[in-house]
Amino acid sequence: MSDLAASMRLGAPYGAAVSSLVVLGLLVLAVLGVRQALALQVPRRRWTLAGMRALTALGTALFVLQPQWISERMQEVQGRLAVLLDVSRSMSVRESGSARSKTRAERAAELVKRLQKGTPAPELYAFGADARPLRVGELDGQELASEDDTRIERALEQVNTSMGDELGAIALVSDGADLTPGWTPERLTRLGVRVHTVAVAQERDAPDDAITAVQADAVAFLRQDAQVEVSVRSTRKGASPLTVGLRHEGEIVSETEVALDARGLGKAVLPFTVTRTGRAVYSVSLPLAEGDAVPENNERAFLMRVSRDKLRVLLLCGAPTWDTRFLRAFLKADPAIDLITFFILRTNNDLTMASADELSLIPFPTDELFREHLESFDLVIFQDFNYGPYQVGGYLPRIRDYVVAGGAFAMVGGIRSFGPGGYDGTPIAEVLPVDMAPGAAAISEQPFQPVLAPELARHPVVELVPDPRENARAWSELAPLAGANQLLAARPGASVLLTHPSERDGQGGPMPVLAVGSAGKGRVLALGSDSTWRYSITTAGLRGDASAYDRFWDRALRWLSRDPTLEPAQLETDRERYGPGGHIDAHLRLRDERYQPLAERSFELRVLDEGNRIKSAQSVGSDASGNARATLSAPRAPGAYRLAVVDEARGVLAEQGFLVEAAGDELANPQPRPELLRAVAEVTRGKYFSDPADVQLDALDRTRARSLGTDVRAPFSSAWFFAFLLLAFGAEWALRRAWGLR
Amino acid sequence: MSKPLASLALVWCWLALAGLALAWLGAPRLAHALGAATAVDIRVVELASGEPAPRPLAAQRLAWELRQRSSVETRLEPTRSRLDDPRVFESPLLYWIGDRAFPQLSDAELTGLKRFVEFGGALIIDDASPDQEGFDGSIRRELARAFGAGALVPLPSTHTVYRSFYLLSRPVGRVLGPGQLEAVMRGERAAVIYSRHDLGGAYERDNVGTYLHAVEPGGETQREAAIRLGVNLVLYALCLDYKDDQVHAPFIMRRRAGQH
Repeated sequence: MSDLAASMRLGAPYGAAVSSLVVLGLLVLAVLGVRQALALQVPRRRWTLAGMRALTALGTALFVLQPQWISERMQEVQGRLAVLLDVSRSMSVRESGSARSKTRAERAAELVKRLQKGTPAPELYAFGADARPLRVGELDGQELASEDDTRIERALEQVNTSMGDELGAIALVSDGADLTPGWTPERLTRLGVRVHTVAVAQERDAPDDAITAVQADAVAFLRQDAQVEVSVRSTRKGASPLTVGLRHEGEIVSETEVALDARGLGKAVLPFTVTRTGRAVYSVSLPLAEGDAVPENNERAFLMRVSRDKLRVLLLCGAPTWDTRFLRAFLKADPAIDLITFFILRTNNDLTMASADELSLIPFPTDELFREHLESFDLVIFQDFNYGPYQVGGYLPRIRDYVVAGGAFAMVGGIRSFGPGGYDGTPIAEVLPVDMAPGAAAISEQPFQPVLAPELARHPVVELVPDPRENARAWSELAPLAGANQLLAARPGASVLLTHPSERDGQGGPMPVLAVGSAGKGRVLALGSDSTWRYSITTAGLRGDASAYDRFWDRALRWLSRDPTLEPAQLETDRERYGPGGHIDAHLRLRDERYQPLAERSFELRVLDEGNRIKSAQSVGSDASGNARATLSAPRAPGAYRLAVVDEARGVLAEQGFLVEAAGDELANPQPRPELLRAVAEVTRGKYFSDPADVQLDALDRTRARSLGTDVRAPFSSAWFFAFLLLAFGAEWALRRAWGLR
Repeated sequence: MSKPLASLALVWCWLALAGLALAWLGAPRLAHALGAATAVDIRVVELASGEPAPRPLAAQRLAWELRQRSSVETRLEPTRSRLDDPRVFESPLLYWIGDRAFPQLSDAELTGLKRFVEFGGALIIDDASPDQEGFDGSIRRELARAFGAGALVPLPSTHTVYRSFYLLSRPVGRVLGPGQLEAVMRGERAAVIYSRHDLGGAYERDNVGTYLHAVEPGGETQREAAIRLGVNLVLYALCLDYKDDQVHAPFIMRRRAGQH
């Protein structure tokens, strides 16, 4: 046992500021007091009084500052040894590049098995991105090195925390290929534990061409230019420029040469054009040179979601009204929307008093719209549009089928919509989320303030502001609507978001004003009003803010067109690319179609390949908030996959694509870094081994300094010292009185 | 025909007409609006200073013509509103007609005018005395106060307003007037359109259908053109640049070519 640490600190119980002021004041008083004493004629009195005054000032300062002496008693104790084995994929590299040589992981496993046979047997851990206990049986596995990341600092911290006081030292067995940006071994001193390091590979110029990084946008637009930036590295001596090729479905799409700098690094940008919507897998590759140490890192892949650059919307308006005017203006103002509008400007009953050539009117191209181009639209809106007079009736089944197949449809109210428009009993009524009262008189002409359904206040279509209470207030402050179409009860599965305050739905419930739902794979919206324009100019006149209209319609359109950010269930993975068998960390936020949490329920997580075949499945449970987390293994075969969360009753709730690459980030730069391991050993007072064969269990110092406690001495805070101070002051006063001084 | 027979036939005719009327009244028809606020109201501007609005029948006649000629559902009894009245935001269209100079708008009126236009409202201004400077001077002063000097710009003959329903080549009203309309633009939108052609003068007619003002110099042909311009102005307020959509271009170009 030995006192290893001693230190002094100031107690300063009255705070630093007060203490400083008091000490400063004392200093001034002491100087003045001593100078006054030194002016005395009698030398004995002069020096006695000056000494007394200096002593009292010093004593008071010590009492105010209260310096403390701290000593910590330390003990060197023998702890247990933890062996931390790097199982990242860079450990799968064969040192000589030859198939007959051992991999780094095999060399490391041999060492660990040897150490495991010693007494006392060390605790075994494996690490990639995180540390985990390692079973001896795993050391013989073919796929030991399968982690997609190397985080030495984090793994050491985790082992230290996991073993606590039991831990004596850690033996880190690794290639040192930790490319975490910004960390240095010096940070490991705070661990307070010895780390012995064993380098299983030495830095050498193994010839290797590699693609180190691929950067491409996650989303590309149809028939528009896209590009991918590829970073390459070559360790071959005198490497000539590398040729980078971009492939899609096996075909070369683009190719370019990359010049390398003195360090063997280079970058290339490959432009290309996407020609099909949907998910696309692209790959970039380098030609394989003879003797390449890591052939796997010559090819990388990336996923791209190809969509149309704009949302295509077909807006049909039965007549020019303020409602159609404001909606068209809103849609036209959005550069992300490709809008096709048709207004019925004249009916057969209207007398234009002009020949056709004097009018700007054009025929309504029903066949072209509904037979040739219907599927090209993402959303079809019937706004106050009656199909009867325009020979659209024959196309209503096509519109229904378009919705069921995945299209989106909205019917916005008016005197030509729903019942008055003759839609009751038509194929359109089959897909709408609500039933409707039939006939021309099925309207209510009284102004009203729609009521927000409290249980659906978080539905994105009616979420004007995120806070539910503020949202309810925002809705109540909008200008009243002018009238309503008479809608009846909602269909099963539909969500009624707004209701009429007094009209009934035919079954005694409040009449729906705004309802949304699904029809097959498509989404539908029914709005029984033609005066939401009043949320713009009229509300602005009342409140000075016209934005509620835009927010409402923006969210309605995004929900109808399945904007991923507004989907009820969300599934996110920690990465987009994994190595074969890599660990996938998935976070799930599970809501039903009414945006209510799917709490404390069981779901299935499926990994599906491009042919929609289930490659693996496991169950996952949600918590009380409908959130869940799961860890699973990526497939071993390289390719594109989807992770899907499936509910038994509802089917697929959400899914996320990912890639399995033969190389991945971990193999992009697998060069060993023994100098890093040497530095780790030095800063933690451990020992560095450049060859696993040199490591003996006995040679690994497992002693760890442990604190037995601390002693704090504060002699100037005692009552005795206070009494001494009083005595000194009293003595100084008494002497002054005795000598006739003031 | 004997007198009793004639009387019987007359009674029968009356009964038949009454039956038809009852049948017509009872038949299901489309309502004109889903609530009063949704019909298009050509709302006339009233000034706080009390200057009377001339052409009191003009807005009503234009509303009637719109309903006859197009699918626009108009309010046949247009309302009136002051610019400083909060209810001015209840309808997005204002029709400001005047024939004389008027004092400066109050601050509340000016604010109401600016907010109405900025929030998406459409304003049609009609000078009923284009041969005098009074109303014109006052209007230019107020538009400069509200939207800045130089905000009022000529509207080119290629603008959508000349093809929003009828194909027109120039503006006319009771008088031939200037060859162009003027407008205050808000983005691409002509938010305020100013006509110095006395459009209302060409529309007004009495209860028996007689037009109240002669149209010079073009007579009834010019009156019809003035009505068409009024229809176009309201259709533009309702459809904005709809007729600029690509789908209309070939039709309009062909018809324009045929007119020349």
